[in-house]
Amino acid sequence: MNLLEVTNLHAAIEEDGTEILKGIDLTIRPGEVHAVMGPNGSGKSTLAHVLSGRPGYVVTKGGARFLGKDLLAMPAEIRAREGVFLAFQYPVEIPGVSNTYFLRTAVNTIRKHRGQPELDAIDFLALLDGKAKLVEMEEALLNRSVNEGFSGGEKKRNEVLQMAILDPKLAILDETDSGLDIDALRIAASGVNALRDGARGMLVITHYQRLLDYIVPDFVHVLSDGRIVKSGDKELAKELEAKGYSWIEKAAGHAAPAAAGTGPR
Amino acid sequence: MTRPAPSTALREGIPALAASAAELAARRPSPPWLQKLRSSAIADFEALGFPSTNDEDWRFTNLAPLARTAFALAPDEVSLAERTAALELEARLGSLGLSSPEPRMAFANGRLLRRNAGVHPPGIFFESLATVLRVAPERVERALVTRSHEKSVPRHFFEALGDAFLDGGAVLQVPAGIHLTEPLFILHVSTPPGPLEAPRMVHTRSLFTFEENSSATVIEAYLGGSGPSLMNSRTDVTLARGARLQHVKLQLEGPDAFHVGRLSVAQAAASHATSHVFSFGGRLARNEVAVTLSGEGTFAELNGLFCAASSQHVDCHTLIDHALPRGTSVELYKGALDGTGRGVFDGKILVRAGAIRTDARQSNRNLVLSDNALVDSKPQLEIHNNDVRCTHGSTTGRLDADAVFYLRSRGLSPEAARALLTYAFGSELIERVPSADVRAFLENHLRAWLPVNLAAPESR
Repeated sequence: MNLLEVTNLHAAIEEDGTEILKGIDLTIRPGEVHAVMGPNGSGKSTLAHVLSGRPGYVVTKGGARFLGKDLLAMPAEIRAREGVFLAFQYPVEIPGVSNTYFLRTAVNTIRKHRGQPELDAIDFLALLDGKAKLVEMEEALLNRSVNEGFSGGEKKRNEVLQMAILDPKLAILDETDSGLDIDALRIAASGVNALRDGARGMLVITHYQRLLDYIVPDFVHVLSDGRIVKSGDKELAKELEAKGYSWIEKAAGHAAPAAAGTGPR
Repeated sequence: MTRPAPSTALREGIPALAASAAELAARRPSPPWLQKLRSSAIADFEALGFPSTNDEDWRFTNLAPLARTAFALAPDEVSLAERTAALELEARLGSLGLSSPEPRMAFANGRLLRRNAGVHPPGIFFESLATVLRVAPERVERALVTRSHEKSVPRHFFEALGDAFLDGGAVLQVPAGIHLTEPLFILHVSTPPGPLEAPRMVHTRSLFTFEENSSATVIEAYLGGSGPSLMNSRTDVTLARGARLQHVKLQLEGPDAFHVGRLSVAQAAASHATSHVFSFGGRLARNEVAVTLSGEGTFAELNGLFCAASSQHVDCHTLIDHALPRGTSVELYKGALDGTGRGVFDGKILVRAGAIRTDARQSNRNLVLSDNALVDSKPQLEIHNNDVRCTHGSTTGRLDADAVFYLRSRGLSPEAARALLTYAFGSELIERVPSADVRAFLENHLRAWLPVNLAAPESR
C-alpha cells in the first residue's frame, strides 16, 4: 500500500482565502525519500503544514490518504499518532517544559494509540540516551526546556531526535537546512539518514540543493506556484542548483509570484 | 471629596463584629497599651467600614459577599472535631505536612494546635502570639504599637479589624548572625464549623524580626475545608542590616473561603527580602505584599502566581516603596484564569525623592484560558526622582497557538497540550522557591489544578 497518496490537492489560507496549493499530486511508497524543491512562495511549507494538520488552512479540492486512510479528516494529533511526523522549520520554544518530560509524554501518547505499553522512566531514559547519541545531543540539552535558548543547529537536532524517538512511518522535514552551518547540517542529516530503514518514507522540503548532498533523495519534485511542475531523480536537484528555478518556471509557463508570503506560521 | 455612601451590605455586619471584638478584649487580661490598641482598632474599623468598589484600592474586588456573611470566632479551646478536621486537611500537604521534621507551628481556626520547636540554633525565639501576649506582652509592644511598616499605606479596614481581634499568630525573632538552614513552617488551618455554628473567622497576626546578618526561609500555608470562612491574616517582618528572608505564602483554602492577607516587610540597608505568593484557593482571595526599602543597597524580589477557576476571585496587590538610594527590586506576578475566574493584579512601585540609583523591574503576565475568565492588571510607577531605572510591563493573553500546534504535532491532544503549557507557565514561579519539598508540593498542586491529568516528571 502507498504510504502517502496526494491527489489534486488544493489548499488556501483560511483567513483571506488566498489559494496556495493549486493541484498537488504526489505518491510516496514505503522506504522512499522524496525531495520537494522550489522558490520562496511556491507553497513548499504550506504543503508540509497542510499534510501535518496545522490550523489556518482550508483544503478546497482534492485529498490525501495515509496508508489508505483519509489523512485530512484526522486532527493533527491523530496524524502524529498514526505515524506522520513534521520536523518544523521553526521549532517552537516551550519554556518550563523539560525536553525529556515532553519527549516521554509524546512517546507514551503515541505508544498508547498504537496499543503498545507505555515506557516507564527507566526504559524511556535508555531509549533517549541511545537516540540522543544519533544526533550528538548533549545531556544538558535534554534537561533544558524544549528548544529554549537552543541554537539553530540544536533546535534542528532536537527535531531529528524527536523523530527518532517517535518512530514515524512518514517524516516530513520542512527546510531542515535553513539557518544551519555546514557542521550542523551534517549532524542533522546523518541523524536523518540513520532513520532510513527501507520502510520509513520521507518528504524533504528544501530551497537549496545543498541538503540533498547529505540526504540523497530517490525522487525530486519542483514546486512552482502551488503545483509540481517537474519531477525527476537526484540529478534534477543538481540541475536546479546550476541553473536556478527560472528555467523551470518559464517552461511551466508562469513566473514565481513577486511576494514570498508563505501564509501563517 | 465626597463619596457615595457604601451599600448597606457593607455596613450591616459591622455592629456584630464590634460586639464580638469587644467581647474578646474583655476575655483577655491585658496591659493598658494593648487594651487601648484593641479598643481604638474597634473604633477605626467601625468608622472605616468594609471598603467598597468606589475605593480605588478595591475597585475590582467586591466585598459584599464577605460583608453579608455573619462570621464568628471559634471558642477559645480547640475541640476534638477541629483537631481531627485540621489533621485531615494537613495531610493534604503530603511531605510538607505532619511528618516533616522542621520547626513548625500549626493553628486551627487561629488557636495554636501544635508547636514543634525542631532542632535549630540557640537564641531563636519562636512562640505563638497568644502566649507572648499572655506572658510577656512587652516583647511585642513596640512592633504592635509603632506600625512602623505602614508609613506609605493608609490603615485599611482589615488591618484595623485584625488589631481589634488581636490574639493569635506567630512570633519569630532571629538573633544576629544566625542562619536557619531548614525552612520554618507556619500552618493556618480553617476547619468547617459544626452543624449549628456560624461560619468561622480568624484574625491572625505574625511578627518576624531578623537581626543583623541573620537569614531564614519561612513558609506560611493557609488551608481550609468546605463552607464559608474568613481568614484575615497579617505578617509583619523587620529585616535589620544584611538580613535575608525568603518568604513563601501558600494560599490553599476551600472553594467558599474568603482570604485577606498582607505581608509587610521593612528592610534596613543591605538586606534581602524575597516573597513568593501562590494563591489557588478560596471564593475571594486578596493577597497584599508591601515592601519598604528603607536602607541603602537593599534588594527585594516579589514573585507571585495566582490561579482562579470556576467562580473564584483572586486579587494580588503589591507595593514596593523605594525610600532610600540604590535599592533594587524585581517583581514577577503571573495569573492563570480559567472558567469564570477573575484575577486582579495591582502593583505599585513608589520611588521617593532622594532614592537615587533605584533599579526597579516589574512584570505581570496573565493567561486567560476561557472566554469567561477575566483579569484586570494595574501596574503603577510613581517616581519622585531622576537617576533611576524603572521598567514595568503587563501582558494578558491566551496560550500560544504555535506552541499548542507543536505539541499536537507530537501526538498530544489539544487538552493535554493546553494543560502542559499552562503548567509550564506557572512552573517558572515554582522553580524560584528555595525549598525542594515546597517545589514538589506546588508542582503536584498545580498539576491537580489543571483540567487534564499530566504525568509527574521523572528526575534524571
